[in-house]
Amino acid sequence: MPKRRRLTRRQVLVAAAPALAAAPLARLALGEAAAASPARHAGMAMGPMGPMGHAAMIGAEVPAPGRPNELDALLYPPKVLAHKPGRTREYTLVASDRQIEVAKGVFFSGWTYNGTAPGPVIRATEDDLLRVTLVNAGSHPHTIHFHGIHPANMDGVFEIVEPGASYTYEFPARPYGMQLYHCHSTPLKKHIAKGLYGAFIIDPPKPRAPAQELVMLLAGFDTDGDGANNFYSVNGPAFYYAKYPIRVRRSETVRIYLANLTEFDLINSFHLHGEFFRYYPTGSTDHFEYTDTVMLCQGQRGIIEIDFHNTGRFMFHAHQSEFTELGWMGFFDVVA
Amino acid sequence: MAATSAAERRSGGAWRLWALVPLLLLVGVVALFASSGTSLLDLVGRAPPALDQFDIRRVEFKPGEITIRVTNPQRKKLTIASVTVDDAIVPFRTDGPTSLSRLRSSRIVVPYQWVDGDPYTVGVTSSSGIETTASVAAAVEARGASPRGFLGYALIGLLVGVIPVALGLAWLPSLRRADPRWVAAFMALTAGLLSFLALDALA
Repeated sequence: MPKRRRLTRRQVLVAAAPALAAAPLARLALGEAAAASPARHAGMAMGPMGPMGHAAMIGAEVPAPGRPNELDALLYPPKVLAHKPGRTREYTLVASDRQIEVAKGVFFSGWTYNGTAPGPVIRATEDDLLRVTLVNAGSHPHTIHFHGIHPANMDGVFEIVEPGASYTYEFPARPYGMQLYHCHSTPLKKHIAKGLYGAFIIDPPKPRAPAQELVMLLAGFDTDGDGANNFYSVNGPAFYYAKYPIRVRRSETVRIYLANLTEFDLINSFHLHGEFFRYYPTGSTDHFEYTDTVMLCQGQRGIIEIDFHNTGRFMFHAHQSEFTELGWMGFFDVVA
Repeated sequence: MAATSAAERRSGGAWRLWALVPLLLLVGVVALFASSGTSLLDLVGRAPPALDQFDIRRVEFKPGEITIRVTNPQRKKLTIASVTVDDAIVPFRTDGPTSLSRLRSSRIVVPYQWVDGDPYTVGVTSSSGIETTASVAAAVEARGASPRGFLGYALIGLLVGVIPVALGLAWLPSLRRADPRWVAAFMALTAGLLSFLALDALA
């Protein structure tokens, strides 16, 4: 009978090692199984109601950047002037690279006209001689392309303004309506998405009825450069008018010059709660639609006239829920 | 005879010492490369900047809220600026700083009426606008501590920690009879497996 060998301490350790190794392996396997396990608890998860839903996004709760009245220059257009053919209206737009706060605490490397996206509101009366100088203080070639009727060499497509250079666009303002302007350098998508656009109002020879006039430019911001917008807004910062509602009087018509410059998304829209309004597409004729929702593709614009029946707080927003919840939402505070 | 064995022992010790030399050299070279920062890479061109992405470590669903554990894996400081659930900006608070230094973590708490079993995607956007998203295939309530859970963990621990050791020890009689070459082979396999697991755990 062969003599039995004594088992050494080393051999015992060796024997136990695979078992020890099995522990972390099993943990890994179980961990994955737990992560993949499907829902089993029946019913809705119920809890105390949090400050959720866009109806609750009011006042201090709203994650919007900026201070009260900071956007007044973009919201309230310059004063309308009486019809006087041949009068010169001059504007200077400086294009520059700018870090802009597009949502609370979120900074976007934008390109701007006069430091903001959208750029300043340009206003003229039909038959004014418009003289707009573009100074390019940015790092890329830019232009200004106006919508409207003008000579071919004033179109902002072929006259590329290199960094450090400037160019003056000169043409009679026509036709009346809500126009717009934007950069037309290539790559076009990039130059618009970065923030180079603005409102361009041409008033009719016979003045419109007096109203509380507002300008709203719809746009989005693709902060991570993936070709899809991360934030949407009116006149720049997301949720700004949810935090700082626009105060209007019920006694006087509210007129909104509305334009859509949103890049990447096919359409944008404007919807007003609790009220109907007259919508004049492009605002160049008397034709209007009576509605509470309008849809605009990029470059489409028009004029909205609201006669509020009621006082109180009324929401306005894109009727694409996604845009609403990514910043394109605000309130009117209608007072007597 | 005695002199020879002493010499053998000495040369054996030297062999062990020499085996350390490449390791020490490797440590030196790695340290040198690490301490050079980007100066070496700059010679061949500028590396693209790291995206300001967070690492979303864990998304938990509790009644009326979603919690998101984020870590900053980047060299530079990252700030939590905006939080979304299914592409909608939501109010949030953090247990911990909103500005995270390298490898620091914070827990984001979002009050939210989530639907059991529905898929969710949460997004955390840094102050530079870069969004990090994490998707959960089906929302399930995360359990807190309970006797039931304690029992479950105890059973799992028994299953993965005690029973395998016992099974391993059951090899004892056969190992006692095994050829030393087989024992050496088992040991080599075990050492390799343990080394792999140790390295794999770091990843």
